[in-house]
Amino acid sequence: MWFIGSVIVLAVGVLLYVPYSLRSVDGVSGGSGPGLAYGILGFAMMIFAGLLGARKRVRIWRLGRATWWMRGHLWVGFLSFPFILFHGGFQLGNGALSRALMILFLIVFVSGVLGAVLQHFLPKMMTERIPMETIYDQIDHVENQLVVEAAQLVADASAMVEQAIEQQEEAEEKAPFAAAGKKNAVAMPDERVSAKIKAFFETQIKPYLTSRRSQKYSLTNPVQAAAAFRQLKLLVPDTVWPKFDDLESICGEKRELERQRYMHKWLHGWLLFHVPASYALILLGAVHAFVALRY
Amino acid sequence: MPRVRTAKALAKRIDLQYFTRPNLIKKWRLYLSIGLVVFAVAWVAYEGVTRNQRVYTKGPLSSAHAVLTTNCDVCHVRDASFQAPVADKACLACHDAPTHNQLQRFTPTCGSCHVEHTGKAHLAEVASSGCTQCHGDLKTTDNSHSVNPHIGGFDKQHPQFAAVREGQKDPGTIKFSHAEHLASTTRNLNGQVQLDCQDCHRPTNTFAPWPNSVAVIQPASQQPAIVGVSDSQQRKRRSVEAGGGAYMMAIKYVNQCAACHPLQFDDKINDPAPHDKPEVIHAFIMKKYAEYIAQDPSAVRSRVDDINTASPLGYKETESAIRPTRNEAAPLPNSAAEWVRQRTAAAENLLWMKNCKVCHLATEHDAPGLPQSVKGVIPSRWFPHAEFDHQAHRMLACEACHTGIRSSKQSADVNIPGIELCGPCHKEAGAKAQAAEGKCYVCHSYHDWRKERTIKGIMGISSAK
Repeated sequence: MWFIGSVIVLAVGVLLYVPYSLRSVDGVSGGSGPGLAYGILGFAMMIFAGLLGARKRVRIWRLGRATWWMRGHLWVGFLSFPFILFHGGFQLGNGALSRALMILFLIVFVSGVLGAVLQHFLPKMMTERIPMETIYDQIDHVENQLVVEAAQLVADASAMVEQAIEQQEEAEEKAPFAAAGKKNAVAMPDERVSAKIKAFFETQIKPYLTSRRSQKYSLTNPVQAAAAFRQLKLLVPDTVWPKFDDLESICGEKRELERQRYMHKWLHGWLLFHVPASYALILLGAVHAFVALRY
Repeated sequence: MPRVRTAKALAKRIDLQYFTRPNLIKKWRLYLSIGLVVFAVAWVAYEGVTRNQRVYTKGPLSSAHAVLTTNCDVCHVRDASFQAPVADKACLACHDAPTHNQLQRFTPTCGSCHVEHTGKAHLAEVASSGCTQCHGDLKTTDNSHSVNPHIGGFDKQHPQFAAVREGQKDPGTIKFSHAEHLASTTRNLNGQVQLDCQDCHRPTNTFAPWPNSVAVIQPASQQPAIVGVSDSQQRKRRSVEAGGGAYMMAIKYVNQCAACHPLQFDDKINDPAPHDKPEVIHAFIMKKYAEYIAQDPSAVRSRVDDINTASPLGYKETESAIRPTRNEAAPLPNSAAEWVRQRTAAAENLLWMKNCKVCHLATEHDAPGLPQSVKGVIPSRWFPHAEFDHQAHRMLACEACHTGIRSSKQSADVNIPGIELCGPCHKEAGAKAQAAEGKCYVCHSYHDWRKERTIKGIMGISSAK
């Protein structure tokens, strides 16, 4: 409905603009009758598109479905652009106010189109690429939990290693030759391994998990992360490996959260341009309309 | 045991109060929204306090009004209503705008035709729609029409120029053949010559001496003032008065004709007769003969029928039309007065019957007394309701527009180009159509400037600036 309606309105606008433009020997002007009509229509469309923000603030009011308002915002907002161009005769304007309005409108329109495109594609992409997606506002909270969880895993792993060392020492005392032979056959941990695991946590895992700019850490790269954990596993008995698998999983989750954070910025970052510029546009547009109608 | 990622486990990680804390993007969105709106309000307020109205202008003013750019109120006069459009009285405070026509039913506002804020150099360059809104379907207060009532513009239904419509004749009273004058057999003082259009027709801002003027056959001391103006101030003034060369200078005997058509009436008299009324010429001839006979009393005994026009300046007769005719035999004069009378009669007979009639329509001189010549009229402007600028068309050869001039043998021939010759270059859309301007204002003036009143200025320097 919105699509068909918008196409019809745009077609009518174009059909009226062509003869108006051709007959205007001195060029089209926003102050002429048709120019003024295009300006009023365009501004009315902007106001309607802007009502989406107001509608969101009163969600419980029975003012139509949210999707209806969103589609109206998209189509009518899109339609306002050609109408304002018709109003201004495809010129940037001569006065500072006119120019400011056109620049603001360009920002609003371009950011709006970009936002619509991003909102169309990114959510699906996020679902595919971020299975561990969480609420954006919870990312920091979850990351803190990941640090706690990782610390616990490291503590458990260290404890298991120390326990393995103790068991090894006991075994050596009971059967020195048998233990020595076993030691030679399989890499058995010593006291330094536990320290190495803790150091790896403190220097690599924890900074990475708490970092907001994690690109500089090698754990950001899944291949490098896998290699690092593989090397650690070589130092410990296989009974400890599940702990390292969990640590690697935590790093993987951190990567996903980082990806979500990055994609979320794209998904909503355009609003930093779109919304403020829209408010300023409507305010200055009202001033422009007031001055234009007065003079 | 590997990490468990059940929905329940994931849900447990969520801080249920998270929505009470604004996230970064929302926070910045709010800050930027408030900041930009505050900035916009501050900007508008600042421009209001400093009374800088330029920010609201919809376009640059015309060059003549550019000085008023920051002073909107000079033109946008506010009254009790909300709106402050440009009222006619604001325009009329500085400009007079004489009525177009007494019979017009509708008078448009100044601003509807002279559209400001488009950066035009000249506001007089108005759109044709201002004219065609009435002339497209003209209705007058008495329902009469002196012009075509359906003119849609230069490209649309513009009638043929009145001067070249079917049956129109040159209203001039001078007998003239362009064909003969432009022929290669034409002769002047020095023999055969090829005359050029510019030898006789020049824009009004031309100051070079005329090649065929009386100056050529008279000593410099006797040259008329119109030839050879050298004073730059006078030249400039005349140039302005002449409209910058828009029109051709009027054809005058002294400038264009005298060299080839001297009014020499007797080889005894050096000076040619003045190009004036018959009574002035008569007095001149009488005076000259009286002076001559006073200096040479013996000439009384000479016959008057030996009169001829062999020029003392060496002018050789060029046209059979002005060759002297042998006067009928007359008795020998018995006094100086009789000699003067007879000689004058013979000279006048020569002038009236030969010299003058070459160009002028005159009554036959078959009765005593001076002839009644028809006043010589040569139209200098052919479009009484329109203007044409020769200077603006100087890149064109004369014959590009005056196409039939070389074959024109009669004065009655109208050698003005018709509208069909303007069309290829001039189009309503002007530069948009890669053509010369074709709007109404190019040729027509809406206001009748003959009725312009003097404006008494009321503004001070501070109010204007």
